[in-house]
Amino acid sequence: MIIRVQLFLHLRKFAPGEDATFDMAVEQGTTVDHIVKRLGIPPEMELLISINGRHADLDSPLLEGDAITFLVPIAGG
Amino acid sequence: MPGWIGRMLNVDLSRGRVMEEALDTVAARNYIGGRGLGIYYLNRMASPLCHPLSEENVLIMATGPLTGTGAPTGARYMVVTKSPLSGGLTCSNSGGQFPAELKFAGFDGIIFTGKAAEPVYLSVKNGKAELRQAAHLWGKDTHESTDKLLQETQPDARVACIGQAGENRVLFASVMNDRDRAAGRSGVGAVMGSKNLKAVVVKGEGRIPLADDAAFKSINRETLKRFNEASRVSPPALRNYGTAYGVEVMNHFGILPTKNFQMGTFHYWERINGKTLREKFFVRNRACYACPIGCGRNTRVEVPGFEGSGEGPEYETIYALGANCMVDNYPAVIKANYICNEMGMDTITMGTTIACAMELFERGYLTEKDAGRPLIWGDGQALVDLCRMTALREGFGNILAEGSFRLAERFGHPELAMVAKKQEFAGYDPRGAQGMGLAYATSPIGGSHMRGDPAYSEVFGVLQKADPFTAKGKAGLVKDHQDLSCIIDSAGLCIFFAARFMVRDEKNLPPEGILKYLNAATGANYTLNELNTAGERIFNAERLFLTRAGFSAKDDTLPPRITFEPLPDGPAKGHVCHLEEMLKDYYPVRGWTAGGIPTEQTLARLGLREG
Ligand code: SF4
Repeated sequence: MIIRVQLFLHLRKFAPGEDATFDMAVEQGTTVDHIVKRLGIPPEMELLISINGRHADLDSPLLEGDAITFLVPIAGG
Repeated sequence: MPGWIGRMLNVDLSRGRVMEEALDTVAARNYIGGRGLGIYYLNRMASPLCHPLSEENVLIMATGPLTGTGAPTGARYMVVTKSPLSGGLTCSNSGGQFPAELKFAGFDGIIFTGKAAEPVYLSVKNGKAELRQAAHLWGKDTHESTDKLLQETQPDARVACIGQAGENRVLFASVMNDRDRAAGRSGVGAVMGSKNLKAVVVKGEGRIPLADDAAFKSINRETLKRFNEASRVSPPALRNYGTAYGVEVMNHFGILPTKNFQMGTFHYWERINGKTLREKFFVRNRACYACPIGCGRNTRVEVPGFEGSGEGPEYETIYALGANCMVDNYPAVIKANYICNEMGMDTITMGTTIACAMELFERGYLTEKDAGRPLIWGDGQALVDLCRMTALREGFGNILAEGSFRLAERFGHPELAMVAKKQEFAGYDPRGAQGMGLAYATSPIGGSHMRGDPAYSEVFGVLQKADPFTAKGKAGLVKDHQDLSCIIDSAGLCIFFAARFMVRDEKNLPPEGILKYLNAATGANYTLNELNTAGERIFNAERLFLTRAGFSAKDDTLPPRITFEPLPDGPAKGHVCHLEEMLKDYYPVRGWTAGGIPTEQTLARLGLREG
C-alpha cells in the first residue's frame, strides 16, 4: 500500500530525495516504528508523530492512503 | 538568607520615598519567590476592589530564588498587580538580563505604591536606590528610553521601562526590559504609566549567596549534561527556529487560530513560519541570562515600508498578528511586532483585537466611518498603522487600546471577543486541545498559555501525553500544569527548559529537578510534597484575590464560538470545547465550591485562612 510521509525541520535530512514530502510503498499492517527504521531516524531521537493530523505513537498501525508526519516536540530547545 | 538576597525595596511614589525592608522569610519559603511572593504582597497591600489605574493599586516586581544563580534559565522575574484589562489579577513574566541584575544590585524585588506627581524613574545601584525625574523620557519609545538611560547612568546597566502605550494607559501595555523582552500581558505597563513611573534601571556587582555551593554546582553539571546529550541527538528546535516553529505544529494539528478563531488552519502558514523567519530575516540568536537554549532571535526586515530590526516575532505574536488577522505578509507581521515592542504593547492582545475588529467590519457591525478605514482580512499595512495608532490612542486606535472585549461590546457583539476574563487567548484553539480551554477559563489572568500550559501534554505529547480531543481527565491534568507553572514562575525559571529538564514526565508532574536546585540554593529543605503544596498555595492565593475582586465561576467562561461552533476545517474539524464538563470535575479537584470559590478546608490546608 502507499502512504504519504512528511518530515519537518532537521528531520528533512532523512528524506530519500530532495522533497520533504514523499510517498512510500509499505506492506499492509505496517506500523510507525517500521517507517522510522526505514528512514534511518535514530531511535533515541525525540519525535512528535501524527497520522492524518491526529497524534500517533510508534506502534500505531498505518492504512492505505494515510499521511504520516514527523515533527519535533519543543524539547527544551 | 541564601538564594534570596533577603531585601525588598518599597517605593512610595506619592511621597517620593524609597525604603528598604527585610524580605519576609516565612513568606519566601511558603511562596517560593517571584510570582508567589508577588501575590503574597499584593494580597497584603492592595485592595482587590481598587481601580487598577488609581494610586491605590500596587505594582510588584519580584525575582525568584534561582534568578541570577546560574541555574539554567534562572533569568526571570514577574510583574504582579491588579490588571486594568481584566479587572482581576495579573502576573506577567519576563527574562532577559534585567531580573538577574536586580538581584546583583541588592534586591529580591520592588514594591511600588502610590503615584508620582511627575514622571520619574527608579535607579538601583549596588544596594542604593533613588527616584529621579523622567520628564525628558516621557513620550519616548522603549528603545530610545533605554538608550538614553544607559547614557546617563552606566552603559552596562539594565533597564525595564514603558513606551508610549504605557504612558497612554493602553489596557494591554507591557513593561519591556533589555529593549525587547516583555512582561507583556494584561496591562502591567498601563499600571506603571498610571503611576508616572517610566523606568527602572539596575546595576550591581553583588553575588547571590548559595546554601550549598558544591551541591549546586554538581546539580548544574548533571542537568546541563543531560540537556547537551538530548540536544546532540535531537537538535534543539527552539534554538534553531525559535518559538516561531509553533506555526508548523499548530497548523498541522488544526489549532492555529485563524480569522479571529473562525478557523484552525491558515492556508499560507508556510509564509509566516519558523523556517521562513530563519531563512529570510534571521540575524542572530539571543539568550536570556544563564540560558543554554537561546530561543530569542534578532531579525531584520529590509522590505520597503516595513524596514526595521529588533527581536522576534515569537509564535504567539505570529498567530495573533499573522494568521488570526489572515496576514501572510511576513514583513508586515514582523514590523507590527517591532512597533509593539518599541511602543510597549502586548502583541497577543493587539493582534487579536485587530482580528476582532476585522470580523466586526466584515459582518457589518462596524463601519468604515467608525474605523476611519476599511478593515480587510490580510491587510498588512492596516496592521502596522493600527498598532501605532493604538499606542498613541489616535483615532480608531483609541478604541482598539481597550482590547477586544470592550471593542466588541461597544459595537454590540461581545460574543466575538476571543477572551477569557476579558484577556485574549494564546495561540491554541481549545476546540482541538480541550485542556487548553479549561486552562484559559480558569487561569488567574484570563486567556493565557503561561499560567498553566497543558499544550505540552495535548500538543507536544510530553509531560503526561494526553489525547487533545478528550475532556475526560483534563481537570487533574490542568491543575497539575497550573500548579507546576506556579512553581516554575516563582523559582525564577523559564518553562521551556524547566518543564523538560527539571520535571519528571509522569503522573502529577513531579518537579524533582527544581526541588534539588531550590534546596541547594536556599537551604529551605523543601520536600517534594511541600513544594507541590507551595505551587497549589500560590494558585489559590491568586484565586483569593480574584474572589475578593468579585470573580467566581460565572467568570470562568469561554465565548460561544469555542463551546458551540464546531471548527470548520483541519484535523480538529467538527469539535467544540467541552468546558462545562471539565469545570464540573475541576472545582472538586481544586477543592473549590461549585461556585468556584476555595472552600474553608482548602484554605486551611494551604495555610491561607485569615486571622
Ligand atoms: S528558552 Fe528562550 S525565553 Fe527561555 S530563558 Fe532561554 S532564551 Fe529566554
